[in-house]
Amino acid sequence: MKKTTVIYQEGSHQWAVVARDPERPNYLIDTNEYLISDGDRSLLTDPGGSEIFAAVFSALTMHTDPQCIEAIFASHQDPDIISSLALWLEFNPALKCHLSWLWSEFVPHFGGTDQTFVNIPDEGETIRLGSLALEALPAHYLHSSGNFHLYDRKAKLLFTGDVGAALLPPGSDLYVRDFDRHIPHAQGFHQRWMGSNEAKLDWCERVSRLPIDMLCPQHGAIYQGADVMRFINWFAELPVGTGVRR
Amino acid sequence: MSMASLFSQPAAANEPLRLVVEVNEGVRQVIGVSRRVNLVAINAMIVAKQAGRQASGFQVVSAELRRFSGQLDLQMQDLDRFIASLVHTVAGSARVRRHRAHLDAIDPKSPASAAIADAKQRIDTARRRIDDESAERWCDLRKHLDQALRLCGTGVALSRAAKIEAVYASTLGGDLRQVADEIEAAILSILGILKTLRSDVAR
Repeated sequence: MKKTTVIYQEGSHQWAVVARDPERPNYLIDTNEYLISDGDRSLLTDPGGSEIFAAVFSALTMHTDPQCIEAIFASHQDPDIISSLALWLEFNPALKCHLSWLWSEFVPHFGGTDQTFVNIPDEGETIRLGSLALEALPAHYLHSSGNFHLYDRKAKLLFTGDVGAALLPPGSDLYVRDFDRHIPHAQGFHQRWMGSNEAKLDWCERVSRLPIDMLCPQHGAIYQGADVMRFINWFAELPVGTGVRR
Repeated sequence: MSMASLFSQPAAANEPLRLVVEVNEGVRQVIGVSRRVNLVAINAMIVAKQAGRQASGFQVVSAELRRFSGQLDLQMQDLDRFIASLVHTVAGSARVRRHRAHLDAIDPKSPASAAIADAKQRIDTARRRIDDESAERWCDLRKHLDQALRLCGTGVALSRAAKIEAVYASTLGGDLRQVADEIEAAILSILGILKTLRSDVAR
């Protein structure tokens, strides 16, 4: 069963991650879901696909009341990101899903109505959650053409969707412990799934100016401390969109 | 329900959708044959007209056969539209069942059991509504097929009348008999398709 781990806590402000499902069928990619809370108000990032809904829900409810989840942040439109939307709406029909405007007519195929979606403009926007101001940062073409990351300036945590993702062997640690041993697991993923060097460099330049304690991807392990900048530098140097030529 | 059993749903869950696909395919076959009957009947009318008074009876019957194929074509088009709405209902039913299976897979020890029970209840209510609607539609489909079968009975009678009239068409009798045989074979094939569909739907 997936496990929920608190990765940041400051008063009622909390980040928890639902990760590592040992019972997951091997044909489904493993995912990390982050629950950002301010007291009893919560937002869930990239809640995952419908096939893993039960595992995510079970792990999450050991930690929080699912009816406190008032919003979902979908970094992009992929099924492993948001195909469980209809199931989350069963628990809170008033749930809001923040998503790039580009996918506003695509993702409703997974569920929801015109009341469900809050379209994020290309330049990004601030999402309010209680007293928190979460910033949806543009990350277009990394890897989706309408793509956002979510920055919590107060916690100094950045949720990066597929950027920073790694395809790790079973039983891997939740955090990156040895950057050099970890990064080969991320290389092929980034070379193939990230399509634009221009978009990548723009993202690296913007993100490197932010104070970040943890970089939290949707697959793989969390980068913390100096590994955050190590990752940004590594990514800036990596030629992407080259996966098909390997 | 464990994750493993969730991922191995019985194939029987797809049975209604498979049946809808079969009915749809049968309807398309019937439309194809019915249009062939229409063409053959037009040709028969022309030949019978050329034969003059000798084949006047055959001319009347082939005109009736043409009308029959037109009616059958309209009925099948109706059925085609009806099947499209049936697909919608069957897919809706499959979707809520899948939702229910996902909720059943949630850890029973979850502290959110009350919320889960509420969600299951909502899904079950939706499922009952969709299932009732679905049952009504399957019943309507049977009625549609019964109507088509009755019409086909008229077609069979007409094709036999055509064979009798061909006998009276003296010099063209052989040709018209051949046409009448062709029409009879086509209508019997339509009848066969419709009977199979009717029996599948009843089952």
